[in-house]
Amino acid sequence: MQRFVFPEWTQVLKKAVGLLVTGAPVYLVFLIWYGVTPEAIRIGYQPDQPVPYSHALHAGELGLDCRYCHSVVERSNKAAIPPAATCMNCHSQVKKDSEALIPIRTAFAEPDQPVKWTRVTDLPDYVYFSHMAHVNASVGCEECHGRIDQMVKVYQAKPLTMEWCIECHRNPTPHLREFENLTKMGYTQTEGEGERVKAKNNVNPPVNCSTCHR
Amino acid sequence: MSADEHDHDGHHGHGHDHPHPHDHEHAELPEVGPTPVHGYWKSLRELAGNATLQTDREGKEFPPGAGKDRPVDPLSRRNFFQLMGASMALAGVGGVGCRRYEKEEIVPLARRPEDMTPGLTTQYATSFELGGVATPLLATSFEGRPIHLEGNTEHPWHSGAIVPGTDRHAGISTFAQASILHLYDPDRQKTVMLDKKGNTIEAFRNAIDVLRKNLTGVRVLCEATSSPTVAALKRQLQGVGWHEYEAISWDNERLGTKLAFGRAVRPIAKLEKCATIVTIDCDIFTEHPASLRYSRDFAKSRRMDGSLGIGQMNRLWSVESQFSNAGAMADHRLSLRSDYQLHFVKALDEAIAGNAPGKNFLSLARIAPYVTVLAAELKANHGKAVVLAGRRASPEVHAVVAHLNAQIGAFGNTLDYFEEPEPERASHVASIQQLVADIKGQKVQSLIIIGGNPVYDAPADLDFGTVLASLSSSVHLSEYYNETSDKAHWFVPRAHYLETWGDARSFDGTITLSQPLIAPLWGGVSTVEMLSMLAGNEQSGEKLVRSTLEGMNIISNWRQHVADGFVPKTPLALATVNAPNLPPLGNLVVPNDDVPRNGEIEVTFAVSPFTYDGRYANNAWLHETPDFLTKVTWDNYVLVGPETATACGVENDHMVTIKANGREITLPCYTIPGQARGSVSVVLGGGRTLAGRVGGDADHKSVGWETNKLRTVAGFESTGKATLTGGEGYELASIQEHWDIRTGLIKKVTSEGIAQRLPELIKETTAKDFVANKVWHAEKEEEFFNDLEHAGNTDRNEEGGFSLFKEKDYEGHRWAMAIDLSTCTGCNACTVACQSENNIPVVGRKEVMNNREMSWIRIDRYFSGSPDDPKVVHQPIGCQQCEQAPCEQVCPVGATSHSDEGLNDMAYNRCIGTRYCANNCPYKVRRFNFLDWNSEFRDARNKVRRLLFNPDVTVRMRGVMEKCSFCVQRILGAKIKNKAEHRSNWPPGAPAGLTDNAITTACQAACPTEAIVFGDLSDKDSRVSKLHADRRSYALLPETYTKPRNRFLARIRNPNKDMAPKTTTPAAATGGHE
Repeated sequence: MQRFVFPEWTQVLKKAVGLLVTGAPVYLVFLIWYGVTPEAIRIGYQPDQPVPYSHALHAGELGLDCRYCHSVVERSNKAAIPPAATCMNCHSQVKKDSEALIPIRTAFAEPDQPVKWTRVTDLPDYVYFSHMAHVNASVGCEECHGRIDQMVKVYQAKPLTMEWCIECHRNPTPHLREFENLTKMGYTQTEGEGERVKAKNNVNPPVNCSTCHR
Repeated sequence: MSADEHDHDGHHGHGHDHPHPHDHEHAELPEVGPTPVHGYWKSLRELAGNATLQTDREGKEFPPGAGKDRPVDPLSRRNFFQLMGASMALAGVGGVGCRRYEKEEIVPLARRPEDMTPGLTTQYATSFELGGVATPLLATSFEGRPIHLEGNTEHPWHSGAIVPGTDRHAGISTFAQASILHLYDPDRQKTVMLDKKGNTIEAFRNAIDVLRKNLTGVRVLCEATSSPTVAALKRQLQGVGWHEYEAISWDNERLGTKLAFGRAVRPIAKLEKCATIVTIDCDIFTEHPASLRYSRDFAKSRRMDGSLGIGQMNRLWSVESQFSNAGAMADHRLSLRSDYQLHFVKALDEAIAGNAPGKNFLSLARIAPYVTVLAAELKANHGKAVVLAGRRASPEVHAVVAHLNAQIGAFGNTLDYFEEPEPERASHVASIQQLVADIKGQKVQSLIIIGGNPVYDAPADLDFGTVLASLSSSVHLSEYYNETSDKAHWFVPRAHYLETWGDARSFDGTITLSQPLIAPLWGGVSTVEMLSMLAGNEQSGEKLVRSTLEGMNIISNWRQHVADGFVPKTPLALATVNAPNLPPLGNLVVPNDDVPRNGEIEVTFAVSPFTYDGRYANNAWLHETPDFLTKVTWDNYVLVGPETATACGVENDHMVTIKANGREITLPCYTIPGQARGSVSVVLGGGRTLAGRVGGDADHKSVGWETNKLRTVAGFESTGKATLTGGEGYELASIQEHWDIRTGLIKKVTSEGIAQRLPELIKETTAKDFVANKVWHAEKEEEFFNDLEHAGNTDRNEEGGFSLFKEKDYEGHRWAMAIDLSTCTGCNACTVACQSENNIPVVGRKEVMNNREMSWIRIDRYFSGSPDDPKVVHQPIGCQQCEQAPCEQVCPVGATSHSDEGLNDMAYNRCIGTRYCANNCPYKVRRFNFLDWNSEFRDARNKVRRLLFNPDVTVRMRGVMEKCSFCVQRILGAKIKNKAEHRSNWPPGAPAGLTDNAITTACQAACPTEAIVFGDLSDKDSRVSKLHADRRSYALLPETYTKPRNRFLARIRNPNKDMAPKTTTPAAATGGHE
């Protein structure tokens, strides 16, 4: 009986199997390693909100300034989610019967039933971030929050890891812009703007432990 | 791990040098350590040479499990590792580091008030009343919840600058500071009760309406209050008998002025003008109703550059039976039984007139100079001296003191009398005695008790509990359901003072307002609302307060007054008094000696530093703040002098039974040097049975021992003829020998070693020497590393630097602190303020005994001199913020590292708990979270307590190290705010526009004497720079070359040259305490 001989082309397959056997663990390790990185887990986190508020509509299409709603961002550690009363400034006239706005109207009518938003941009409890410090150093909103003007439903756009924070603290220049450009989206720095703003605002971000951890 | 192993660690862990440490030490140590005159010591035990320190410690980080009897902690090293392993495994499975955090909700206010900024704190003025005296406060509120209290810096009488040209400053007392803890205490009673069953406020209103139909036979028993609104309501309640009672009462002063002037007037001293201050059983720093102001004024005249002029400072004399903060600060202190003090002041009064003391105890060598020299000094300082008598002193003593003050020209110069708001009020004891007599005589149908806890703290012979229970109708208004509530028919919950409107007078009479910072968490009514209910005209607190003050025609701008926290220009009227009468003293028999004899021991009653009179029994912060002198926590005890202890056969750390007037109590004994011979002090406020989960209730063991059983109408402040009997051993949770830095680099610790070591930690000089010797420096040249020469990036191998490690250059801010030992009174305010600001957990009695207390500031207390007449120094120690920090070099994970402003930062989230840093810290200021102290906050009932946390400071978990951060959250807050304000307006090259005083640390804000100064060394004109350059300034352990950013200012004492220095007789201290 004639011996079965694998055809010549199977030699290639053999190599491929060998590669698969040795490569699979490497691939799996890489997959898990990458799969648990903040880039993979955190970026794109997009929880549901009680009111389907669209930043794309309000900040993008209608062009409302961020600080119309997040009014304390220049003078407080928090940007603060606006009270229902702010929404009602417009929505007592516009879309005043919309079903989507029921939670807002309820909160406005009965202050003990406030709207419970879900936090998107979340930092660990041992990290102390101050909006006031960053906004007044003229770091644009977009630098941390991404293209809010294009988000129908807000998601986390940046990794918000310590590495990511420190990278900017070590070299803030590429992230600075003139104060009047603060809330502009899709903005690109003009020539020398970073250096200019850094000098003008005396931006020397510290990288001490206590800068963020207290 | 077995108990054996534990023992092994503790007692034989010295390594190879000393195979038999006990024998070895004993061979070298003399039986009784001879202590040089200027030697310092921490306890009698140590002076006698048998402190655990000397036999077992040898520079170890922690004392060995101290006491073999103590059960081994269930959390031994081995099962700790088991637990750690298990939790690591779980962490791996769960992938803690790689998961999203818990889902969080953001709940914005539906309508945000105009002045509210989410994410920032705001301060509101309010006031805290204790014993009828208001302390004006600024309450810090974060998004609607009060989180921290500080003194109101704008109050006209209470606050001001000690150093001219600096910002106004106000201190705060420990009790006021800790009172915020009660706001969020879930043990506060939430419902109205009728006969121990829950009921409603509506039902109570109906009951009051019925009661109102016939107000004759209705009595009110109120705690002391100076509220004008309460006074107004009292006038509305004509016909209702009014009684006032406080267990800690200053009524003897009123009675004394009545004896001297024919009417009750209020003496207020001006200590800033005094060259000589004499206190007779009077603690002007913590116990006196004006203590915060007195502390400030004292500091003014105490400073060498203060109110008396350059090179001048006041002299403090203290005559007292129990060691008080005033005695600890005194230049000359005489320990004398309270019942001998009348003879003493009488003799002093006569000596000023020129009569020598008689042939009795006053002529004893120990005592006579205190009469003659002091009299001469008082005469010499005519018009610049004052004598102050305390709460415990009898009315006669107060009257003689008034006469004395008249003789030395104090009136109008250093002492003013003011009209009492209620001069006709009966004294507290007389008032409650009258009430009980009236109840027994069937004259009372209903009793309404406002606050207080008379069933617990009324004189025991009145048996108030039985009397109250005999009434058919009674009401108790109180924050807590306490012993009195249990005997009353109705219980109505009272709202916390931070939840209500109110008013009260500060000690000078200025009307001080309180406003609610938060709506009542659990309902409840305020005192004034309750009284208005009784008056049949129930109104809101705000309306009541406002209409009362409007009725007094003193309101000019209500909103401004509320914002300020006081109504300006409303002090008490200055009284014109005649020359004081000397009280008739009859045939006063002067005793011949003050030798202690069992059976004739005097018992005095002392304010509890933990619970005041028992009312703060549920306050864990106060329980865990060590007493300034005994360093005991979580207890109460009787203080016995060494001679008295020997005479009565009682021992330290043993139980004692005290019998007097046919009554007896049993409590632990603490032998303390400096307690007067033949006099023992019983600390009140322990043994509460219905205080709450902390202080003790049906299910929780009481903290301390019930001592009111010994207190009677006749023996309210002190009682004589007591007999002491020793009992079994009992261990007090004292932190006396914890965190000892004295052993630092000395391998072999002997009493000589300690005696050598201590003068390097505590530096002192006298006013005379300081002025005469202009080249004297607290820091000696040879131990002072001149860092100006070797600044910069040097190490040991280059250019003769001192450090093994690179030294840093600092640009910009260099934060630093200076602590003045001359004006630190040891009041503990800084410790409690730090606890509140920095979310520091409490650990409980058992863990304190295991050396696991967490307090970031400890106040080291050293005695010096003879045990009979010891001198005391306090030294508050937090992190010294070394520039060359030894802790940083040993951290394997870089969890503690240096900031470019010179702070030693601690990143909790990075710490893995090796404790190397604590071991390498020469100052022993690092605290380790051995257990999860915050675990209880996960209980549903304790959720409310989380509202108290400072949101700017991490709540630490188990297994991480923590320590003082110089309030880095405040530094960064101020920097960020400052930068925001200056956006785009930076002058080129300017470092940062933060001025000195822009940042106040929590301890600094709390300090009543401004002994703590914080600031920026890069600013050469800042206060802290100047203090660091002062020749009194010194660093601790300079030979370690840690270059601490905190420096101490040497203490200056001001002894009278005619008082011979005391010779030391250690032999006197050896008996009766082991």
